Amino acid sequence: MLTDRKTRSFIDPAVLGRLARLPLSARRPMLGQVSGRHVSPHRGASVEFAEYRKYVPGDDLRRLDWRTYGRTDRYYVKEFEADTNLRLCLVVDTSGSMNFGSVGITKLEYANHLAASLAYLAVQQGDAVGLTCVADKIVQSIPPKRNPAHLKLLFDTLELAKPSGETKLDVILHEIAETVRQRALVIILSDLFLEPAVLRNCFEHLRFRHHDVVAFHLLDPEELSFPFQRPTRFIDLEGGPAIFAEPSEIADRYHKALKSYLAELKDVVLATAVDYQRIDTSETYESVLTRFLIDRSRGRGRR
Amino acid sequence: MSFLQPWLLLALPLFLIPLIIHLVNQWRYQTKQWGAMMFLLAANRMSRGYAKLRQWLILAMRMLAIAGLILAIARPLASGWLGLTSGARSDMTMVLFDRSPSMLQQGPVGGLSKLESGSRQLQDALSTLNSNRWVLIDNVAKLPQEFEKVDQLFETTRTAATSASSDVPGMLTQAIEYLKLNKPGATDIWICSDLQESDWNEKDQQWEAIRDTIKEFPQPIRIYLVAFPQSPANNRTIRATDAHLEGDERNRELVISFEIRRDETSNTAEKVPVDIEIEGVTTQLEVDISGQATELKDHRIALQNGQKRGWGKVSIPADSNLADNQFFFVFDEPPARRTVVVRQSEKSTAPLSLAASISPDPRQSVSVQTVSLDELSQVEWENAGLLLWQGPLPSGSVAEEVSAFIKRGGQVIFFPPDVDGTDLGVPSWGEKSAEFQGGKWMQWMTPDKAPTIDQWRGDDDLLAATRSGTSLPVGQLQTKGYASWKGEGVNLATLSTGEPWLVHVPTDEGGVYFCASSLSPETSNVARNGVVIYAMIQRALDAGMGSLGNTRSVVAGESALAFNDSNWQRLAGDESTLSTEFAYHSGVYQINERLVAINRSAAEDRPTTLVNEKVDELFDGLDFSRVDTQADAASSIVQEVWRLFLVAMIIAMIVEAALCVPKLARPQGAAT
Repeated sequence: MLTDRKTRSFIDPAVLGRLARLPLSARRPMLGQVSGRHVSPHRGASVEFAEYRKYVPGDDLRRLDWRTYGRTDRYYVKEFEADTNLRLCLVVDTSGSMNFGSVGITKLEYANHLAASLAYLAVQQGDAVGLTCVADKIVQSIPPKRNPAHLKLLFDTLELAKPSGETKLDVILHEIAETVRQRALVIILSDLFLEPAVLRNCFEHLRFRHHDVVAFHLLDPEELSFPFQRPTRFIDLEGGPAIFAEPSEIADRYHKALKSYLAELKDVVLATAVDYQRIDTSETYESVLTRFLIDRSRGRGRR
Repeated sequence: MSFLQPWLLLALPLFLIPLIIHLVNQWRYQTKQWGAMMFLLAANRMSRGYAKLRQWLILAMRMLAIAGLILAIARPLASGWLGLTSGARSDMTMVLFDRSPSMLQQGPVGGLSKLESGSRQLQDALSTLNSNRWVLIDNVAKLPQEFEKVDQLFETTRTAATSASSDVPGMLTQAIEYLKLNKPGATDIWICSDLQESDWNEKDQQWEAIRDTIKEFPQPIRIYLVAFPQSPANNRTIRATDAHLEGDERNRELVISFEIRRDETSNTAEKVPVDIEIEGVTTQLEVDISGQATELKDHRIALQNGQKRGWGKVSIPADSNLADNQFFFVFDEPPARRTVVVRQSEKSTAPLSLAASISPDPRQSVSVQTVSLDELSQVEWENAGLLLWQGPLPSGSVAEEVSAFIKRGGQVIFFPPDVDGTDLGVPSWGEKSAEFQGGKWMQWMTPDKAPTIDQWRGDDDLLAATRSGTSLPVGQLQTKGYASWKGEGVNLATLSTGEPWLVHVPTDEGGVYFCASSLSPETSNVARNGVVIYAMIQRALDAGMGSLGNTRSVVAGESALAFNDSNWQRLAGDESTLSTEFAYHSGVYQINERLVAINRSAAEDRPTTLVNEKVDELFDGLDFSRVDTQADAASSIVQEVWRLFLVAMIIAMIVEAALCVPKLARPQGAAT
C-alpha cells in the first residue's frame, strides 16, 4: 500500500500485518463521505434491513414495500442500514513532557507508534485519517483523507514532530471539537497532565459534537512508581521551575497525588463515555493496540 | 557532668556523622528531566509536617545513639550537682573534714548524722574519682596527713566527731601551705562541712589571701564543697554558765546555773528533764522552757562531806544533735582574785587598782599589788591572774618574766607610758621603743577633736555585751590623747581616727591586750566612765584566774594545755575517744592535780549557717563547685551512670529502627 519504501522507526510491518486482521471500529455511528465499514446514522442501501416506516409524500416510490401494502392496505417504506466510512482524527500531544521515557522509548515515540499504526489500519479499511500535533498550540494539522498516499504525509509529520512547549491540550481539544465535522473518531494520544476537571470540559464538548472519543493515556513506569532514592533535582521538561526533592520524604505524597489524579480522571472518562486507555509505556504497543481493537470490535453496531 | 575517661570526649564530635552524611547526600543530588511535574507540585503543596519530622527524628536518633555510646564509654559521673567542672583524675585530692559538734546533727528522718553521711558520701565519691595521693586535714590534727588509700582517710578514728570547732580558713591555709611545699599536679580540694558561720569565719582576713594564693598556683586547683546546710528542727542545747561553791565545810552547796536553748521556730512552752550529775550522783529536775533560751540561775545542790572540789555535768534527753545535750563543769574553792598593777605614774593607775579591787562576787577575796617599774622584783607572779601594766613595754629579763606569766595563762593589759609632765606634750617613742609580743607604742597623738570609739566587738572578748545582751557603753568613751600602736593583733575597738583603741594579741595561753588610752583624767574619760574599764579588768581577771585554780574549764581545741598522754586521765566523757585527742573532746580530765572540763564553744549552740551568696563570695574567682546534701541522704553524691547512656543509646536505636520501618509495601505503580 505504501508507495515509498522509506523505513520509518515507528512502523513495524510485521506488527501491522498482525493488526490488519482486526478491524478498527467506531462505537458510534459515523458520518462518512463514501460507503464504508461503519454504521451511519442515516438509512442507506445496504443489504441489512433497518425498519419499516410509513410512507410520506415525497418518498421514493421505488422503496414502497408492495407486499406489506398487499397485506395491510397501507403504504410502508422499507429502509436499510447505510454503511459509511469514518474520519479518524489523531491528536498527538507533542508537548515537552512527552519527551520523557525511562524504558528506552519516550512517550512521544510511543504515541507515534500508536498513531502510525492506527492511521495505517484506518486507511487500509477505507477510512479518512487526519493528524493534529499539539503542544501549547496546534503545531501541525493535517485534514482527514482516505487516500493511501496521504499516509506518507502523516508519517512524515509524525517523524518530524519534536516534543517541546507546555501542554495546552484543553484549548486545542475545544478547537478540534468545533472544527472537525460531526461524528468523527477522535483519538487523543497524550500524557494528559491536566487537571481532570479541565479535561472533563473538553471531553464533554467532543461528545456533544457526537465524536467518538478515545484517550490513550501514556504514562512512563517511573512516573507511576517514582522509584528514586537519592535527593534529586527535577527539571521540568516543559520549561517550568525545577523542584529539589528528597524522594524518600516526598514519595508518599507523590503517590497520593497521582492516585487522586487517576481516580478523578477515571470518574471523568466514565461520566463522559470516553474510551480511556491507560498505557504503561513498558508494555508493547502491539499488545495495547490488539487489546484496543478487540475491545472496539466487541462494541461495534451500537447506535 | 564529669567523666572518668574525659579524653574519650574528644570523639564526641563523631555524633555529627549522621548529619554530615545527610548533608553530603544532599550535596550529591542527581538531576532528572521530569515530565510529571504536576504531581511533584501537588506533593509539595500537601502538608509535609510528619514526613519532615520523621526525617529529623531519624537523624536525631542516629546522632543520639552515637553520642550515647561515646558518653557511655567515657564513664560519666552523676552527682547531686551535675556541674562538676571536670572529672579528670587529679594528682592530689585533699579532704578538709569538719568534725565540729554541729556535724553530729541528724537528718530529718534521723539515723545518720551529717558527719557519718558526709564521710560515707565522700568515701564513695572519692573512691569513684580516684587520685594519686590522698591528704586529710581536719579540725583536730590541723596538719595535713597523707594516706596511700582513700579508705584510710575515712577510718572511724579520723572522722569521729569532736567537741572542737572548725577553722575552715585555717584548714584551707594549711592546705595551701602543703601545696606550696609538695607542688603536686592538678589538685582537688574537697570540703565537707555544715557551713556553720563560726567555723567558716567569713570575715577572717585569711580568705582574701586564700583566694589570691590559689589563683596564683600554676596547677589547676578545684574546690568542691559537700555542704549540709540544713539544721534539724527541735534541737535543744544545754550549757552550764556557772558552777561555784557556797557555804562552809559543814553545809557546802554547789550553786549551778545553766542555759537551755532550742530551735528558733519552737515557741511552745515545754518541760525539759535535766540531769545534773556530780561525780556519778545524778539529780534530776524538770525545767520549764519557753522562748528560744531559758536560763536556770543558781540551782543549789548540797554536797556531802564538805566536798570542796569536783566535777559534774548537766544533760538533757537525746535529740537531733547528740553533741550538745551535755555540758561538763568543774568546781573548786576559788583562789583569791589577785591583780598586779605596774605603774609609771600613780595618777593613771589609781583607777586600775580600784577597778581590780572590787570583786563582782563579794564572797571572793581580792588582792591588788601595785608596784612601780622599779619594784618589779617584789611581784609574786605565781598567784596573780592579771597584770595591768602602765608604762614602757617590758624588755630584757622583765619581759621574760611577763612572758612566762602569760604562758602560764595570765592576762596582761598594757596602757601607754606617761607623757612628759602634765602638759600632754607629744612624745614619740618611735621604732626603737621596746616591743612586746609583736606590738609596740609608737607616738602619743593629740588630735584637735577628742576622738570617740566608733566600732568595737560586742560579741566576744573584753568588750562583749553582757549576758542580758546589753552593750557596754564603749561609745561614750572619749580620749583627748592616745598612743598609736603598731603590731599584729585583733582589733577589739577602733577610734574615730581609725587607730586601734584596744587590741588583743593572740597567744597560745593567756591574753595580751593593748589599750591606747591613758586613764589619766586629763587625757580621757575612761576612768570617769568606769563601767567599761571595770568590765574589761574583771573579765581579764576571770580569764587569768582560770589558770590559777585547781580546776579549769576550757573550750575544746582552743587551749594548748601542757599535754602529755600519761598526765591525762579521763574522769568523764566519751570512752571511745583516743587519748591523743582528749583536748578536743568534751569531758572531764585530770591533768596531774588539776581538773579540766572541756566543752564545745558557745558558737556551736547557735547553728547559724552561711548563706549561699556568702559561700560563693568566699570562693569567688576560683574553680568551685558545691553540692547541698542532707544528713540521711542515701544516694551517693557521685555515681557512675554509663548504664543510663547505654540505655539511652539502645532506645535511640530502637526508635530509629521503628521510624525507618517502611509502610505497607506499595506495589510498583500502585496508582495503576
